[in-house]
Amino acid sequence: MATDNPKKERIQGIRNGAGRAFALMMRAETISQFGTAVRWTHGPARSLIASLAGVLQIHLRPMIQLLAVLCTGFAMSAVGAAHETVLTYPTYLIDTWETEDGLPENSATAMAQTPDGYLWFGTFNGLVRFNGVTFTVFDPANTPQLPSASIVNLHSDGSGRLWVSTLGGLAVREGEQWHTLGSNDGWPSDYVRTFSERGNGDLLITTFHGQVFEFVGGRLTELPPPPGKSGMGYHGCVDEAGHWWVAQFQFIGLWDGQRWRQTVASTTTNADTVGCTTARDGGVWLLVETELRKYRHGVEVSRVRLPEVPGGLWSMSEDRRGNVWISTYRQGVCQVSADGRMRRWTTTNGLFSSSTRFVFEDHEGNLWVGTGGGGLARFKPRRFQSFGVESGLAEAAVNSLWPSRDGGLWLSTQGKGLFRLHDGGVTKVPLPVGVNYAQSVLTDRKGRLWLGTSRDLWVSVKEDFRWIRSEQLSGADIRALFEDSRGRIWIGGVAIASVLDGASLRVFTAADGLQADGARYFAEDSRGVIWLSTDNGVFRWENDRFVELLDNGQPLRNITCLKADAEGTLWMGSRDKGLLCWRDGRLARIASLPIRAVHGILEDADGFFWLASNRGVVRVLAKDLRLAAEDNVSVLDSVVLDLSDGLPSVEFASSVQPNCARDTSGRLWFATLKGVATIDPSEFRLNTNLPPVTVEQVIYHTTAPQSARQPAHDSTVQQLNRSTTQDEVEVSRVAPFTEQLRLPAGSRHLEIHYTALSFSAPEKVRFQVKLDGQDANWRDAGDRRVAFYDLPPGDYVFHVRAANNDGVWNEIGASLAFKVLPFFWETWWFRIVVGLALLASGAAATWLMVRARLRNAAERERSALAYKGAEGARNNLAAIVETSDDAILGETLEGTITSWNAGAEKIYGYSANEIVGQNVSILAPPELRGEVRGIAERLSRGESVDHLETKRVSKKGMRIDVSLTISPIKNERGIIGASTIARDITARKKAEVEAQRHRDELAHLSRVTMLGELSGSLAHELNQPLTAILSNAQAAQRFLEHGSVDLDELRDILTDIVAQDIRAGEVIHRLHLLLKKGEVQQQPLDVNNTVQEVLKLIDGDLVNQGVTMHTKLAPALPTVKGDRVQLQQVLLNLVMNASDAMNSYSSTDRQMVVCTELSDGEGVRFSVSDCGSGIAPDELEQIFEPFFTTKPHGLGLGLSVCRTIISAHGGKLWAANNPERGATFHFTVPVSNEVNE
Amino acid sequence: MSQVEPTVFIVDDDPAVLKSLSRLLRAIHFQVVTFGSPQEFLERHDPHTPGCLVLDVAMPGLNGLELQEALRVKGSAIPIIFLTGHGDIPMSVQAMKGGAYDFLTKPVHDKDLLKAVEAALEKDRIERRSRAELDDIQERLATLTPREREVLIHVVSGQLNKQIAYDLGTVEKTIKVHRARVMEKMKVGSVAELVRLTERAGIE
Repeated sequence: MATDNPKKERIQGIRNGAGRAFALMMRAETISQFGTAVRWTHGPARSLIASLAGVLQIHLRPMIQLLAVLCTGFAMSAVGAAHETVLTYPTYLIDTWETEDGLPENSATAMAQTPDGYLWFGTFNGLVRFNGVTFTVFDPANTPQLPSASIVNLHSDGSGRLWVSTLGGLAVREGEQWHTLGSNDGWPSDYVRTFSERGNGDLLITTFHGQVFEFVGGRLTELPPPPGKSGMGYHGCVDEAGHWWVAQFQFIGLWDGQRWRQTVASTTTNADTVGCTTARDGGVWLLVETELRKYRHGVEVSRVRLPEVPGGLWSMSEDRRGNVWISTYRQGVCQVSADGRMRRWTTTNGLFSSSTRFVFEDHEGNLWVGTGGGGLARFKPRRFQSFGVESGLAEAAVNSLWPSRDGGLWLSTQGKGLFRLHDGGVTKVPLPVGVNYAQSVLTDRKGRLWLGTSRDLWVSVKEDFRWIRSEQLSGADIRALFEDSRGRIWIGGVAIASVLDGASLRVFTAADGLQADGARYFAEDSRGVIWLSTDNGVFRWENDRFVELLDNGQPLRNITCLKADAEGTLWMGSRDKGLLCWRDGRLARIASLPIRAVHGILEDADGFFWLASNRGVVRVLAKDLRLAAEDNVSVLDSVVLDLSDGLPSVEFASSVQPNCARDTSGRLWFATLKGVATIDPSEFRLNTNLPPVTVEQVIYHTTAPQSARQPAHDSTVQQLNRSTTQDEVEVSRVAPFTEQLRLPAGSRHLEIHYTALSFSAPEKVRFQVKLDGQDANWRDAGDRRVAFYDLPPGDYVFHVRAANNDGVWNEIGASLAFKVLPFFWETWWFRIVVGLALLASGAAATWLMVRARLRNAAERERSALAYKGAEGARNNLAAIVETSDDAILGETLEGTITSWNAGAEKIYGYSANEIVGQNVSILAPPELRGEVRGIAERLSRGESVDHLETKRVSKKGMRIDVSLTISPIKNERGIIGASTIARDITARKKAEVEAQRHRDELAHLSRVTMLGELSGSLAHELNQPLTAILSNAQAAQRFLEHGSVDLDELRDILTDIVAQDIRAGEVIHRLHLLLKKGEVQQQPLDVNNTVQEVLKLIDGDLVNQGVTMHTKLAPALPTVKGDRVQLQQVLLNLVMNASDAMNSYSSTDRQMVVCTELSDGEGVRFSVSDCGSGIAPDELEQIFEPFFTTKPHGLGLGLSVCRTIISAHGGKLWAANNPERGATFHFTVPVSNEVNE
Repeated sequence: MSQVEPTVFIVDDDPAVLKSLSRLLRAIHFQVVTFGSPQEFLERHDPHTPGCLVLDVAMPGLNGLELQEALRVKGSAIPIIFLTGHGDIPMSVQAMKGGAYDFLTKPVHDKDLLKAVEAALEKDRIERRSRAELDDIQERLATLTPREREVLIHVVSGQLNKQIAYDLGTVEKTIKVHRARVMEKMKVGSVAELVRLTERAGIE
């Protein structure tokens, strides 16, 4: 937006250099800068407007200023009566938008509507796009392609281009692209006076200083200047033959392709009184001073003489109803209707400024009037017409009304007597002396006029106002008058219920079945049965007696009005329950209508009910209501008409009959507290313009600003500084969204702003949204904005649809595809890689263990065979020894090697020749020589060594892992030596280490995955201390600010901060321990301590899931030997599984028990029990297999990893179903020896 | 029902958080009462006390949403500001549907909390005042006799005593007496005030 300085320069520049038109325009503009202080809208009217808006419950800016405007009228002489008054015809509702509502300036210079539905208008502070609620301003600061912020004229052409004439040049917006037309394109330094368009899209552009351009085939060409007054602009238009017309006070003519030809001689010397515009049906409207003429094919086809010169002419246009609108410099806007009447709007009747620029009609038929200094006004055609004090009624509150037989209307007002609305005039009707309190008014078929007052019933037999008083009903407070099909007049009131049949009056009493509280409303059904309501019940007149309608034995109270249906059904309006229906002895409430109170029910010729309700008049199909009364339909197609449709008030006369009526022409009338409202149902049209729906803006918070950065050309990204933390930024992206929007990993607080371009009553536009992947159904959304918090990564499609003010839905709406990118650990490929790694290492470990076990068995078997061979098959011995893969050697007690087989040579590298005679210690690494001596000692005692896994050295100095089995060789003299069988286990050892490493890795990855699932709990665990720290610190800041420093308090705060910081640190530490990929440490562990640490970690998660945790931890348990992290991982896994197993149960049933106990022979047993649905018997073992899962998002690895871990600890893990419900997982871990010993 | 200073009630099962929030709100000069569990609040809360509730969503036993429901059943319209550690969409949606006034994420900034609390208290104040005013008017209206009620309707429609007397079939003096009694019972000094009261009470 421009600052003050350029604005001043601009004003001076124009005053010095520009022509008269601009000087005038700028004067208006200058006035607008001071205008706020003097505008009348700041007076009491403003508060009236505000209170009206309050009634409408408009919360959104701009505050729509509802102004029930009385428009200019014309006098009609009322026939044969005194007190003639002038009746005004209100035709439009006028609402105005000003700078307070978001306009950059109080002047609007031009307007256009692009095919996407947006309204555009020009101001001298920028080009403004309007969606009905908010204004988006385009100026050179945000749109460098705009030559200037001062917009002079606008045009939206047939190809969707928006032409923008500015003080700095001409710009064209095509889609999102801007082009500028400069002097290279033949554009002068002038501004556009008018744009006109042929059916084929060619444009005629006239400028303020008399130049005329043609834009044909994408090229701008200047036509020769027309022969009018030079230096003065022309109005342009196009006729049905496609000829360009121009009009100026010295020349009116057309371009025949070669030259300008005068078509009409101008008859004026007054410069600003000539103009033209294209007629909607083809042809040309021409205004010359007081004459509005229409030409077709060059021939004048109509001429209207206006009562006065409209004023200095700024622009002309024709609306879809055939009205020609003339905007004038200083005399407001004039409407010339098709029947030739001229009406004028100025500051005296609804405009905030009489300097007007244009009248523009939008797609929905609203007229927009741009003013200089008075903002932008919307003229909305009224659906309801109203007559109140502004039309000459002495009192706004109308009690009762009834059509008169001559097409007029009788109106009784609160305390101000009876009126007659007739041929457009309001007349006061003479009443009997002293009677002003007219309550109920009715004319019957005999032409008698009945009048009920608070103390009498009067009748005027010939409508000649010679009133006769009913002596029998003297003193009665008459509130209800009703004529039935037999011509009987039913009379009701406070404490009176009676019927006049011919000349006999019958007053009902308790003996007739009616209480003494009188009758308030009557109705008659198609069979001629009379129904009536009193203050305390509803009755049917049957067999000369009243029968009360009872709903479950209870009387029907608070009934305000009745309507008996053609089908013998009674409709009732209630004070607090909306519309009720009585049928076949059964009461039904139509709950699906959005209303609480109904004061009157009318039916039109097309079968629609029109209900006077607390929200306005509701139009609904009677057939639908009948269906709804039968079985409760949840949605009824209904339209609510209220102040925004021209109703003067939504408070209707109540508890008086008749308070609404349908006249013989089918027109409906309603009595309200602010006059009478009327509508012709046959002329009622739903607004069937489907509102175009658009996603305008997307805002999200992200912690990763680098990755949020978009390619350089994308100017739609804005990083705002509304961040709450240093790392988090708010990113805003605006339409158009041409491709899938990608939100960086970790994006939160996604806000989507959308709009629907319906301008008739934007505050009544309704929205529904749906997010694919989250919502199964559409859900209502208000506010033109919806927010999503913490969407998990994935692809989403957001849909929004909207209904206009009449509830007509644009079912297609708009969609926005977007993707929340995952962190790497949230990606599917990462999960698969982890899964495959786990699978591979699990399989490898299993395979290796199985193989090792088999090899051990084979080894043992072979050794056994060797011994047997030594004793039983000596002949074979040599052969067996020689062919063995194992090293077999004989030695003396001193260790001297005596025999050496081929296997030994292969393993150690020495040949028999080299080694026989040497000491076996040569094979041992230096640090293990002691071991060799120890073995020798054991051998000398006759003991053998079985499968000692140790290291030896080969000839080449390589360390070899070997398994040694050494047995003493005895003869009758005792021990004479030893035999050693050595097996090379280097490869196996290596594989074992590898397998262990894999197992640990696997356990770690599984922990990482699991902690991902735990993130909610961890966030909670961390957020608690962080919240306490932040609040404490901010409390301290505030104490300090106030200067009210209580040192004790401050000390306490700091102590708390320290404690909470330590608490947060502990959470991190626990987390770190679990995530650590450290070496597996087998150490003595305190069982219960280990369990409690796990429970602390998951506590938040359990609370969130509503799980109640019980622990039964046996006291004084011995320590177990194991790795703390891995055991905690197993526990965590089991607890999380147990919690998941119960999440379909009610929270009182979500009980979990964790036990520890000493179990004989097994060590310590841990158990985790849940109350879920248990495990199918055939799956009790299967669940421990890799990739077995019952969870939709589970990898199926948790339990298999757990079993691996527990096996590695020398324990067991198994599952069993509980006797009552749920399952229990048990595992055992051996007791640590170090403590036992 | 009187001019009691509004109270901010805080319910959080974490004593450290409870204490710090209470301290922060006291530092902003609010009157604060804390509760360590939703059950405790539910048992001790008097719906007549003006104020608002700052409520942790996740608590053992009765959780925040259940408390919201329980309060509603109890007839308390106290505005609730939910605190959550983790922006859990289904939960916030449910809370909002249940009429939550605001939803703040932990750790909560003092400005956000202040804004939410002030707005909630304002909402509570307006609702209470409106309820109280209406109750009061209804109470006064209930003291009128049917005849006085009739006179009242005539008076507020701008009738002179004379006219009313005629319409009601009595003499001006009687109307004067009725009128004075209406003014007295309705505790108003002027007809304008009377009109305002009756409009407020929705008398036709």
